[in-house]
Amino acid sequence: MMRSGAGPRSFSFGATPMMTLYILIGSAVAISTLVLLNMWLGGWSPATIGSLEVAIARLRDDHVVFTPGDGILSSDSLSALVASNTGDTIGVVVVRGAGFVTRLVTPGSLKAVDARDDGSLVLTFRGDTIRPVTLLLGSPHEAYAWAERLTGGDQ
Amino acid sequence: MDIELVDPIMIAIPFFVALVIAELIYARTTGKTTFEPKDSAASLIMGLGNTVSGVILGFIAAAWFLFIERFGALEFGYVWWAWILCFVADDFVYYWSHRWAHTVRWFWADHVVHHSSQHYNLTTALRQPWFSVFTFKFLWLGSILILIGFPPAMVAFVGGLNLIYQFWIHTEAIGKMPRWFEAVMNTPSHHRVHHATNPRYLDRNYAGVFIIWDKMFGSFQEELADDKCRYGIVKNLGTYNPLVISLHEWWGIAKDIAGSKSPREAVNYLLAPPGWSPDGSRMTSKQIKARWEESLGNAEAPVPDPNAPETVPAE
Repeated sequence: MMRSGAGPRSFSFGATPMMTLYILIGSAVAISTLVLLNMWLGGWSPATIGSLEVAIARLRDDHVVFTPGDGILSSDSLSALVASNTGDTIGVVVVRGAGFVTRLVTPGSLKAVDARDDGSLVLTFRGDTIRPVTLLLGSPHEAYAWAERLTGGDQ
Repeated sequence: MDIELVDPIMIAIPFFVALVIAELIYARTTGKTTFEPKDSAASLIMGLGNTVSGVILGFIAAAWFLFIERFGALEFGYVWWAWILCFVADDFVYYWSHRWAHTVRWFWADHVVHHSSQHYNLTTALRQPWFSVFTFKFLWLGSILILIGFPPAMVAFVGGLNLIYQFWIHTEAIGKMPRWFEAVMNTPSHHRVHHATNPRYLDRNYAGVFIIWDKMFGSFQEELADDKCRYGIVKNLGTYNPLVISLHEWWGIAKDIAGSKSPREAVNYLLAPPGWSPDGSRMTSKQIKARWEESLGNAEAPVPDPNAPETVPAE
């Protein structure tokens, strides 16, 4: 239905192009200042996974379907693997800054699993939402054993 | 009638900066909330990108609003009471728009940006999407008030006020407001619930300014002292890259649709709730809540598929 006798009103909303430019430059300066202030003030500390129980607790918080079985903590305390009690899924816990990121993976679902002779295990996820994770598992035996569980024996 | 209004958000930016500094100092001195430089930088860059995209892409919506103004059913003009009516009506429309932003994956792909931080501070308020125009919500939800008869400038202005109101509620520095205020208005406590991923809190408290909409439409949840909020999304991001933050869910939809086995599946990947999958291998918020209630031993809602294999939660 057309409004009787009313054409579109002219209205100005927002800033002129130059003013917009100044606002954007000012915003960039403000962002840099705030981030530098945040760095200078500190007040946060990088997270670590103090024990396997911490990793399990985080997985249970994030995934209501997860019932933990056995697991292993990376020696740098920055990541952990926890198998579900049925072995169908494996929970991955990774430190990210002051927090944690978790994923449940099924055997064979990772993009790449690379076990190395120095006892490290590198997991590469499908998609771009989490970077490759390197777990320091202490021995080549552990690294290869977990790689086999993660790949479903396809490695 | 010509009218010139300023964008209230542009005026508010210096106050946003001042309040973030105040909260940073509060966080450092009390330890009651946290800021992390990389997370703060990501949030603030997302905010800046949102402003830039508004300048670059905003003309699409603005041109549309000017075009449809002539079809308005009524003509309120700029009388004082129309501003109040428009503000309340805009908040009502915001409630539903926000609710669908959580329950329709196409809209969630845009809104997930705002929820992607595991921190909850004033920088989180500024973590906003860059490509909202591509949800095309402005064609219908954004047009309702103009088609009723409110001037586009008024609708844009009260929308800006609504967003400014929502800035201060993104904080852990404030516990609870007075009871009368908590009863009517959206508050930091109510909005902490909205940003939390605890199963009890998922998909609750969609309000912008007035919490009464959630109470009216059954989506209200009080913040409970014994269920501390954990912030973020069900499948948290392991990156601070603004492009990944912006695009990851859009990309996920595209991959899912490309791999779908039927047109029906493709439509569901686009329009069903986030976490929907044809084989039940992912979980929606409703399914997560049902599993959680089951795990508590008081399952009031039926478990979606008891024979499904162990499932992997998605967003």
